[in-house]
Amino acid sequence: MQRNIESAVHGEVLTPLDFKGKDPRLSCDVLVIGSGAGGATVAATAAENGKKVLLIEEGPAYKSSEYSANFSGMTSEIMRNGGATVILGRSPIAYLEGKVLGGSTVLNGGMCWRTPTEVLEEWEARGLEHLSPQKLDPYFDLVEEVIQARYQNVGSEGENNQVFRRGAEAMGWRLQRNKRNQVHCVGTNDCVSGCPTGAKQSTPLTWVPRLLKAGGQVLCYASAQKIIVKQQRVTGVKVRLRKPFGHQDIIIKANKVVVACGAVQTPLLLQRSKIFKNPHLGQHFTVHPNAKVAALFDHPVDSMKGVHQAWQCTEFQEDGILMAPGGVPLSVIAQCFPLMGAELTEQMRLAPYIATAGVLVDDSRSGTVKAGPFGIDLIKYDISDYDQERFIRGVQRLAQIYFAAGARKVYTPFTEIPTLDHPEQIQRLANVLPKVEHTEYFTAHLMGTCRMSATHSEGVVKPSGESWDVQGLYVADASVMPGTIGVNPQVTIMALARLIGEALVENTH
Amino acid sequence: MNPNFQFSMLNRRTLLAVSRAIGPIEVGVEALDIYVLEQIESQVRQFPRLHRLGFCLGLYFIELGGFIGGWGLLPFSLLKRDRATKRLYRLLHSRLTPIRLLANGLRVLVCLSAYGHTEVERWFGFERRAWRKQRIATRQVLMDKISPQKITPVPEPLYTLNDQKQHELLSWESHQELVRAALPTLIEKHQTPDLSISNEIESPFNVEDFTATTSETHVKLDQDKAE
Ligand SMILES: Cc1cc2nc3c(=O)[nH]c(=O)nc-3n(C[C@H](O)[C@H](O)[C@H](O)COP(=O)(O)OP(=O)(O)OC[C@H]3O[C@@H](n4cnc5c(N)ncnc54)[C@H](O)[C@@H]3O)c2cc1C
Ligand code: SF4
Repeated sequence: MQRNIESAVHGEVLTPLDFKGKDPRLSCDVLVIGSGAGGATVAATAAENGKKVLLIEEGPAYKSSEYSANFSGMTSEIMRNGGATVILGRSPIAYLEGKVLGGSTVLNGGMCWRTPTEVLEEWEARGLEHLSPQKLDPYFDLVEEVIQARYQNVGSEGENNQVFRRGAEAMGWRLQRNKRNQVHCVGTNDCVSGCPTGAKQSTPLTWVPRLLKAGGQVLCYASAQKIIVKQQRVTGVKVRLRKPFGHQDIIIKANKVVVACGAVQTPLLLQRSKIFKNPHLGQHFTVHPNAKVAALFDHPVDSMKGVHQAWQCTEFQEDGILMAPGGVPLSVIAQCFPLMGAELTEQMRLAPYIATAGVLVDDSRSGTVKAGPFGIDLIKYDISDYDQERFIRGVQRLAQIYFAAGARKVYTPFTEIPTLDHPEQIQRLANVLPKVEHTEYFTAHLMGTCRMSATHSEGVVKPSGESWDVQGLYVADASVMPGTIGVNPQVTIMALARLIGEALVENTH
Repeated sequence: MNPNFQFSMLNRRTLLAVSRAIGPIEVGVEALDIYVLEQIESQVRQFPRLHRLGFCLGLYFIELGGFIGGWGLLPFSLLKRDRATKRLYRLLHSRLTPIRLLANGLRVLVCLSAYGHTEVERWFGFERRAWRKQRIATRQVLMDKISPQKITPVPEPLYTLNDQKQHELLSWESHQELVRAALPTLIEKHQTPDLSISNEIESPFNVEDFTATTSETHVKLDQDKAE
């Protein structure tokens, strides 16, 4: 089945080489920009409801078997800016964005969490009644079925997950098995550079085949440059096709345009298009930051073997803190230590004995995304002191988990106190209170730069996903999130995109 | 993005020296520095134009900055490895954010390529490629074994050893059993040469010694802080 899906997708995906004419003009009912969690879902929904849909994607299309074992090579191929993307602020926050058919769903860890009920209740209270837990439940059911959100197969977990589980159990803390969108995941732990087995059900294996089956089209290597608007109504998009030698600009006409480029690229495209002014565009940017923690054991942990995050410790979720084991390749373990040269080589001899995990903190403040002059993107986010306190508490608890599982040493993300050699040293973190400026952060959950709102004065898009300012222009990706959700976002994004897809089909003006 | 981008000669010299200063040359992999240079070049090709320019200027700064900033007369690429590493440490702990960012960015890029090299992974006991190959074949067996028609409704797992208890189900050993059971099929169907299923790696060091020495360092660090 898997093989059939892949050849169907790859047989039908168009590339710029399919456009031979000098000035091709295409037209469709609905043009969707971006093939990630939001874009692929909304495109399939519209096509299944009888619309003529074209989905364009800036990156290439890959088959599962083409994701190679060369991690740094893959970062150049399927990630924006070759994987070197950073949010600036009190401390730089590294992040990754997929630039490939499937967007960030190709890189993600596959965790499937529904939006927490209390978050949906808060959105409902803000006037977004269609996002109530009862109304969204059927959408979550559908999404989970389409992307095969299920528990892991026996034995695919590996020791990196097991030491975490044993430690949390010894502490008596609440542990939750993660549902992941996978069919027979065997724990190669290559999720971040593209699943080579085809187990992870990212959008090229789920929503994109549905789109194609319903008669939709997909065009890769096509980057949207500008949204074209006439009299406050969208008419099309200027698209740049990347060709083997140079590029070609074309105009694609559409009655409706859905921007789904992700929480960073969507506001940048809208700002560069200069089609409307809205004070909320590019604001309310939340990142659900995380920090790495590693631990040395005296038996091999082999963190590269076994799936990423089979478990999550949710004991402190009310405090906005999640902890999860995350096995990483050697090249990422090397980055955990602020060392270089011979010292790093010496330290890395311990690599097979090192377990890795992360602490995620629900943001208490937000940042901004702005298109600056000369094509410079200004992406800013400052970790607040309050969030830093929670990071310190989270790292302390993760250290407790690891020591309870028998760790000999714990490596923290704080350069002021990089290691803890004994459980008694955990208290040092609270005494020294490491500063934001001396902490290494990472994020993969970018959200909220075109937020959905009940009134024009509060956000960028209506409850239907249509822009408050331009008719026929929709946004359907992580940027429409009305607020921070505190959990992994792909299921929420897909549920909202499905809802927006339905609204778009119903809206006939 | 510029698919034709290449570093200048001087940038290349600097990057080769940076890759030797950060990377694991002790491992003895031939031409590791050149491999790292090529990998970084292909990543930098994907940068937006201004970032690429900034990166190249940063490399010039690393090469000649010592002379300008007064922390060493020799260009970076002429330094011996340990001196070069020390200079990078200095930049990594600079009080100026752009310099810190540059040094950290280089550290991340070099680690990503150097420690991702097949031979380097193997030297450190991470047989990632062999493991990956074996797993891809294992999945194929599972896919063949459990046909799509039999896929259980979500969120149930697709494969459990029904007669075993929960904690046993999740153990690494039962997974190895599963792989072992599948081995003949694997060999027949996919002719995978490397089927090592061992999770055991010879310890290359004495953990006791290691933690003991670092504990001492930490007690000392604490004392220094207190003073
Ligand atoms: C490393 C990593 C791990 C993650 N782990 C998890 C997890 O375990 N669970 C979870 O729920 N979430 C996870 N996430 C987050 C989740 O994958 C993302 O939140 C989600 O994919 C975002 O969906 P999106 O539609 O907003 O954007 P994306 O999925 O990023 O898709 C945007 C697409 O638009 C394309 N695009 C951008 N600009 C243009 C343009 N101008 N023209 C044409 N195309 C364009 C991009 O190339 C990209 O393909 C992870 C993310 C990462 C990076
Ligand atoms: S662990 Fe491996 S098999 Fe499982 S989803 Fe990730 S990449 Fe695919």
